[in-house]
Amino acid sequence: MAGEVAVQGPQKAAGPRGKAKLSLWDRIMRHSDIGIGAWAIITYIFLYLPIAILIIFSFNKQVLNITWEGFTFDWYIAKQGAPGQDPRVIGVLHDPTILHAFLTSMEIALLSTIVSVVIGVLGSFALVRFHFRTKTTWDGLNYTKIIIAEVVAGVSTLLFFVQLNNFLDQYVGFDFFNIFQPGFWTVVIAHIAWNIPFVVVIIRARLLGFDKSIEEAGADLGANPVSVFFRITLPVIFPGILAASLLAFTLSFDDFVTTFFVIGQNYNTLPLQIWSMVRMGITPEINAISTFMMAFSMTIIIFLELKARVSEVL
Amino acid sequence: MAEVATVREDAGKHRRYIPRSLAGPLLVSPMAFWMLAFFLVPLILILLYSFGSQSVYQTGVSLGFNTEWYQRIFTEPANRKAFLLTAEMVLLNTVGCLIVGYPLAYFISVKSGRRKTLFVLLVMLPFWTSFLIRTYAWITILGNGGLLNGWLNALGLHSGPLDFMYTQKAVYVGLIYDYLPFMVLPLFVGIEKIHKSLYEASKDLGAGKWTTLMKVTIPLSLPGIFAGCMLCAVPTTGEFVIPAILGGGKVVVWGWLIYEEFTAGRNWPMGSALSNVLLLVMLGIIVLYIKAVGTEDF
Repeated sequence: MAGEVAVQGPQKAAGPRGKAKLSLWDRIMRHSDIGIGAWAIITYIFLYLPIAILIIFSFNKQVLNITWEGFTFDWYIAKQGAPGQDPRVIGVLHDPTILHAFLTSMEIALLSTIVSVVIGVLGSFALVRFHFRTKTTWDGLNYTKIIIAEVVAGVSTLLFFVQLNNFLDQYVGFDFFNIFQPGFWTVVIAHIAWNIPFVVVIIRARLLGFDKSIEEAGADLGANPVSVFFRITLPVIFPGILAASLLAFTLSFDDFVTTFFVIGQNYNTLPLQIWSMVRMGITPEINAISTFMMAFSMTIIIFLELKARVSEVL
Repeated sequence: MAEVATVREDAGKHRRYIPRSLAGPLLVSPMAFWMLAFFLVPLILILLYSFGSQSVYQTGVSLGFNTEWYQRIFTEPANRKAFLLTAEMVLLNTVGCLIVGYPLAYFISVKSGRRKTLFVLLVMLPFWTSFLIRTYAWITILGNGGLLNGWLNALGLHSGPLDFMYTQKAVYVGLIYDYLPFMVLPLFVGIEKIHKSLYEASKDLGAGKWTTLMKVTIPLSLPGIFAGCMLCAVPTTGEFVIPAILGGGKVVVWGWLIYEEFTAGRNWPMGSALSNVLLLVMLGIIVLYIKAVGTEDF
């Protein structure tokens, strides 16, 4: 008992002094933890409610999709033109335009991911492990690319491709199999440029946290530089490479603005398809496509979190 | 035995086929090439284009020093209106995200362990899905006869159609929704860096929660606040997809002017001039940011 009193003594003395100083705002904020918690919950609802409603409305019977009419799987699996069915009803899995756009998106995303990760890993190594004069230039260029509004990058790349193609046609006579004609390959090239800075940010963070002494240990034990890289460095930075690849893939797969400008007339990706459908009018089919796309992206990031702890890498 | 020992001594010193001074530039060269050719050169090209003249048949552009497009930008009232509207949009979006995001970032930063990871992940998840889809999702909620309209009518707070969709307000909702993760993540990093003992010290010295917030938390998280504001403000300047979807073509912003010149308008020099003004504004914001936090945090 005596001990407790002794401990409480000085605190009690400090207590009233502290309380007397509390201003009106301090008194209002006394239970602010509850307020902040409530605010956070509301914000999370704000973040997820539209997504939840989007998914729910992909099962809506109503073709115009304004109010809820009843539950159906039609927007996923129905074939168009079945007897007794509204002619506008078509399921994603039977819509050739959607499937074709999906394949194009996949091809572009795969190609641009592979190239951007290879280039980005080499670049990050150079930026982290070596010192050379132009280093800050490449850093600055990457960061600028990440933050500037995509519309500027999109239109300037379009202009560049058109100009380059004209130039090759007129003065060189060899147009590199027409890859700079706005179309599939221009999108791949632009997406690689869009992905590289993000890949570098992730790999670089991984390399900076890398204990170089284990590489030295490998070398001391007789490994040559190539086997040091493949047997020590690569396994250590592998979670970073995985995270970077999946991020690059999603960025490319979901990209709209750059793709829109550089794709030309003959190709179509999934986000472009959604854009034109949104502007023509809304049927639950768009919700069904969106649900597919979100499930796809979310599976990737959840997988990433479980396998590579991406929230620590990023 | 002696032979083995020699091998081991030499093991770390393999012959270098490439001198070390060249290895860095060599490794960086593919990235340097790609970013120069497909990012920087196009930016220089639009600078040249913006001073060019449009040919009569609208396919070619002759380069020169023609300031017509910039004059049009600064004299036409429609352009000025778009500029002011865009400035308002950037400001409101940034401030809106900060107000919504700060308490959330604080909430996450005082959590610990796996909970913290979970809450960060929950902010990041929407960021990983197409912003086109996330924007489109609001149509069902905000539209006339949509969910919000129905809820308000049911509660008796409003009767008849809401007329919220296809207005500036709907655009702001979409903007704050899409840009919130850009704000929350840097804020979280900023608040996270504050040592927890500082809160205890502040409390022990008799400060209430408000005083601690104003004198400890906010001042020490300023780098995070600046970073979040920049990451929100810079991309918003060129935003045209959200105004197009939720503003229904009635909200004409700077990015939309660029979009039109490069699609229906087919006046590429004018579009280039508009892009250059945008680029200049973005660089201005970045310079302000660097001035505010110093280069080492960039």
